[in-house]
Amino acid sequence: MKTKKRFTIESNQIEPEDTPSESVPDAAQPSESTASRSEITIEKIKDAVTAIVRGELNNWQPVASTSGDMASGSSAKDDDPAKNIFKELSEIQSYIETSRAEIAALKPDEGQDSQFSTAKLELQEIVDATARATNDILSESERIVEISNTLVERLPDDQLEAVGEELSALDMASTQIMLACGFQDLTGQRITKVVNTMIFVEERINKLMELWNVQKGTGTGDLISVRPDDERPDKELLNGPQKAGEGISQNDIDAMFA
Amino acid sequence: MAVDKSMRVLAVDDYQTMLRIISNLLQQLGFRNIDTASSGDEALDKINGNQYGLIISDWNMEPMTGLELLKEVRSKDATKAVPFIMVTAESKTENVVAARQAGVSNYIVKPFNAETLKQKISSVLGVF
Repeated sequence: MKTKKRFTIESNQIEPEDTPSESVPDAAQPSESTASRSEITIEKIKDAVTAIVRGELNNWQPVASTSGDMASGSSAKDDDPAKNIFKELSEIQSYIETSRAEIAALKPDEGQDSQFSTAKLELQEIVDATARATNDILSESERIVEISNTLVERLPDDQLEAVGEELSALDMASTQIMLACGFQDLTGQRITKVVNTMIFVEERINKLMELWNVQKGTGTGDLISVRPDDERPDKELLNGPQKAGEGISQNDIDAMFA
Repeated sequence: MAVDKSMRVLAVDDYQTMLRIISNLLQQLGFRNIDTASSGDEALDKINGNQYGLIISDWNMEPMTGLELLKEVRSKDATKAVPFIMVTAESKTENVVAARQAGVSNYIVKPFNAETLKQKISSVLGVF
């Protein structure tokens, strides 16, 4: 015969089902009706916890199914372990529902990009923009060196001697500008680390959504431009630089003023 | 021993900006034959087809890292003695130790200046 274990609240022991706790003579045992009401199998608790975590119980009245007077909690006796367990489960359910709603705000609504995807694109924009700017600076710096070299080749010796120090200073300044452009490599690497961390967090959140059975997301791909506690009256208009293809061009703006 | 500025030098970095910076600095130091590669694989192809007197490489590249490139270079008779300078943002002790164990000739941490590059090249090739 398969022995099913059950949890007897009163004794805090797991007993085989074929060994009723009532058979143990104990003056401290509650009445038979209270005992049968409070006996909960481990499987029931596990099922309840799973259902709570998976979000499959809405507005769960945990105790109602077990005992008529336990649902409200107001009449529950604090010293009844069964009631305490269900009360704890109710609180856990409440926390999980709140967390589920928070996580749903991270899951994109249908047809929306996730905030993580948008944030990653924004970071890539930073890398691309700094690369373009850096290359422009480098090109101009190289041009300065070329002009300096041309002057060295073309100037007569006496004139070259007169401006030799200045030309050397120009070369040194160009070199410093070039070296300073190395920041683009370093910032690029740092941003890559941030993107990799975001991917890591995103994966964990996706797993959490799966575990908590978050079906419908309410999130949008919009990034948050201002802090939640920002009190500036025009904060809704502060969206920062737009991605390529978004926003309007200077020509469009000029047309609006024409 | 004086630096032979006619030698072929290979600069390797996946950031074009850094490649340009290193190339410009090498030109300023007088080197005339400078090749560049933007990945470890491209560098290996060039190393197999040319005779380089100096390799200057970044570490953090994909898919082949600078350390892997260094090990490849050191594993072949034809290239095992080529001076190899690592120029990288990786500045932990274990990085330097790993690079030294792999046979790096010298190590420069980004950001660096022109004088540092000159000194390190000089330390492996001779005086300018």
